[in-house]
Amino acid sequence: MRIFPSVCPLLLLLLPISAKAQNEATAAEDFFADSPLILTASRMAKPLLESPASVSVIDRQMIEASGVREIADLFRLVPGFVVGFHSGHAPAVSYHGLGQEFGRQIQVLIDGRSVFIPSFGGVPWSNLPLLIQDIERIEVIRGPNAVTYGANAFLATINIITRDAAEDLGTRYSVTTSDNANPDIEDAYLRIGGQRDDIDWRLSLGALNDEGFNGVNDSKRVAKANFRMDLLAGSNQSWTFQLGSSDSTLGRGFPKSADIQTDIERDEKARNSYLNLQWEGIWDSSTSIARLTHTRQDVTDNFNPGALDFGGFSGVTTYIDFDRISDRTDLELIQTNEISDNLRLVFGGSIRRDKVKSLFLLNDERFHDVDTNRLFGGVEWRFGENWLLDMGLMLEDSNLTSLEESPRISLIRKFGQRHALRLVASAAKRNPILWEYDGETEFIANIPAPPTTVNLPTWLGNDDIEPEDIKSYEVGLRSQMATGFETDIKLFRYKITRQFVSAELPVDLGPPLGVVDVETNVNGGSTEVRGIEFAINYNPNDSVGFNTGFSLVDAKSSEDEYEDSIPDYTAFVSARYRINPRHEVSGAFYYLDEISWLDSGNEVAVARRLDLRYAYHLNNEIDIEVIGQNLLEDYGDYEEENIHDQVVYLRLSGGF
Amino acid sequence: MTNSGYKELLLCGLVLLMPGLAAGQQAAEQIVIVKSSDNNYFNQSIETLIDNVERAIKFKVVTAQDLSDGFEIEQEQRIFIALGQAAAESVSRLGNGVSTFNAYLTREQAQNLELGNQVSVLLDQPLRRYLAFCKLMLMPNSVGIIDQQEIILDQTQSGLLQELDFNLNQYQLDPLNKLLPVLRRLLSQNDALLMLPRHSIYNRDTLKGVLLTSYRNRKPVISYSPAHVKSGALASIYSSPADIGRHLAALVNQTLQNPAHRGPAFQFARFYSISVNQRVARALGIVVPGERDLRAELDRLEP
Repeated sequence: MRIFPSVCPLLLLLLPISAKAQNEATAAEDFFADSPLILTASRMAKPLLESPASVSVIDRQMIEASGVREIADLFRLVPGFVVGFHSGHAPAVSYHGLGQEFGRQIQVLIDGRSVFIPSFGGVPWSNLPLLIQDIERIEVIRGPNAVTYGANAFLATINIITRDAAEDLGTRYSVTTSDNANPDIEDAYLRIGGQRDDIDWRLSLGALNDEGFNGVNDSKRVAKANFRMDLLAGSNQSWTFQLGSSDSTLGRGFPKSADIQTDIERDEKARNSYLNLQWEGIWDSSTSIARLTHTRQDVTDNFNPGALDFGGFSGVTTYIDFDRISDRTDLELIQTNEISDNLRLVFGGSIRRDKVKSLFLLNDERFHDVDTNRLFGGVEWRFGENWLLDMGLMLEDSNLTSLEESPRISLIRKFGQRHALRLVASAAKRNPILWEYDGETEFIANIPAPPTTVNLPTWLGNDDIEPEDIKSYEVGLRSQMATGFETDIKLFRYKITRQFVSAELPVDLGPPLGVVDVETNVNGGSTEVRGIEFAINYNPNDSVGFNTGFSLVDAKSSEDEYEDSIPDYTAFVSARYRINPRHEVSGAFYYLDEISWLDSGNEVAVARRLDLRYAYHLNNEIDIEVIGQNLLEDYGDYEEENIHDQVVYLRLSGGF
Repeated sequence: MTNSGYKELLLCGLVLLMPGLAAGQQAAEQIVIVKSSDNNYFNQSIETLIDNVERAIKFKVVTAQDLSDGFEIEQEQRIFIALGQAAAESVSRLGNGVSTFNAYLTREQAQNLELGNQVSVLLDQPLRRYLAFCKLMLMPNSVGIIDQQEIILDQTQSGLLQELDFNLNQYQLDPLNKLLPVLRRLLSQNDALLMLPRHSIYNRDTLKGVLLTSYRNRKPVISYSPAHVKSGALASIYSSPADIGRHLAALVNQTLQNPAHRGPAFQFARFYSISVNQRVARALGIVVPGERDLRAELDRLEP
């Protein structure tokens, strides 16, 4: 734990001369303290002001005011976050950069369940079995949070929290449509909620359909279903059962040409399904949670690309099989104890099994397993009236890596009840996915003359590779200027070492192809990022809201592609105003500096986007919205052909 | 003496008298506001207080720490306003001879402090106002409250309960009867929980359990704090920082007009605000009356 020696001297300077236990009844705070409770940062419910990390919250009001259809678009409302579309149905979300379609450095959870796909990494944002209308709020930890959520909580953690079934009784529906030929939107949503004795339940059904970018084969047809049941078992215990699935047909590939021979136009089918079973018990001075989750992704994408020109030979044939199945099953136990007025403790553990089957990724028809065991613990200690020390440690062990530790220490100094200065030091690891560690990708090429069948490897995993490592430091100041008016500013610096970089292995395939270079990955890169971020949130009441965020970074990397993938600055401004009970307007402006996504060679120019929304509330139950996206000018995204043009769509929603 | 001589004499007299006049003017025109800490709600009350005091007065705002560090009382500073417990304690140590109005104290706190002849505007609403609010919001048959000791109802409170036609059931905590078991019993026997301002019972550590347990038992919670409404209570009736500021201004205006006037040592808040969580109301199937109607009925029931 090399991080502690450099932090401890600083701690000594900051410790108060005399500590005084907090024992005075703070009546005014009981009445008026207005901090929302959050859970993600350290698993212990605490006010935002006392969070041991940089936290951004996207609440239900912000989600509705944005009018967006894609969940990934919501992250444009988080300082420092970068959102791009690899294709119309494949958004990429990253923090500061280093982003790609199958990003592996952000942990994404839905109600505590990890939705990371162990086969190829990343999150299938467009076909997650989750409907945006069911989201209550999203908590985003900006910075490493492996201490709480393990590997992959490397650059950031996203925790999506859906509403309790008890909050959705009755029926609600919405339809969304656009007049444009592209993207030709047709969405629908239906939710039914009911209640019987101690059971609340909700069934949500939805469809998202559009044609994606103009001139690109990236249409999507996604059908989703979610079921949630909350059961009260005794008055201090509850069970939550969730089940869901999404079925999608996604356009992929390009028209066949001299440059595009294998990634030809076709449809990919995917099914994402999950199960989440949670028990929670609330005792006098402790809380217990047990959670069993299962996530499965089943992708069918296999095709014959036709005759190819390859290695100086023409008429080469092959069969491409990108099919893959990923399973993740997790059993987690979390215990929170109030030891005293000044001391709270959280601890727990989990066992996880990932199973991956993919001929394309692993050159094997059988399932490969990765078992990961984790133990974690954290302590929150209030010493003195205005001091808070938060320390945590995660120990993680898997059959791909040796035992790793991810610590975090955070010191918070409060100034009255409105300001809190935080000093945070944390470390995390990013474990290789199975494909990076043990992958083997090859194509079988049939060469017509002389008739030969060759196994052509294109990727080899590296079982000597070690996890990527990050050490992060930040100083932040969070203030509550007035009711509903909060600001947060932080200075940060982090360094990633042992980054995975591409390397080539020469492999002799014998005649007729001879020696070919096969791609692999090794530890070799390092990237250092320093910068400043701020956020202002002004939400004094239900009628008015204003949120803005800005991130300015300076990145240096040993690899040009990593440095180019980190834009110097990002910013957003969003606002909403309820003119009267019937009329509401909202809008947002987003700015993204030049960027080159890691899985694209294309440099994307500065992007400016303006979204506007007008909502007419006919009565308590019917709403009509007109939403315009990207109303300023066309801009490119990811690849040259991905041009965002102006989109206007209409949404009718209601309930009874 | 010539006319000009008289004028000179008058002028000299005025010049000689002026310091005395100035001193006399200053004697009633400095108010010291002492706040326990620097926060939004104290500042909002101060702003409202200053806006509503009728005379042109100088205000000085200091913290409790400043008083402890030896802030000197000038003879002219005869009215002190203390916001919060630390401020009340600091001012009480100044001794007699100053008129002090305390605010941001609950009844529980005010009774436990030795505040001498100070007047305290309590954070609590009068019990009859809480009861009337419960009735108008929920039309319950019975409401439960939890306290460390039994509350003995006076004649007015008992009479109001009869008029409102519902039962108020009390539950006590002790080392054997802990909060959650008592709460479960309360929720099984009553239509709602009324939370009274008791920091030893409702605080950061217990709040989640109380609200979650109540919500999952389908029982609404009426609270004393707007913060609880945001967290899941159905509704609260409370005095906002602006309400407190207005009440303090009324007391100051009264004292400035009649320095000998002294009200009762404990005064319930005269002005109040209402906060409702509509989502909780919908989830519990509760139709909440409009605020105007609520206030009209509250003022009628609890004049």
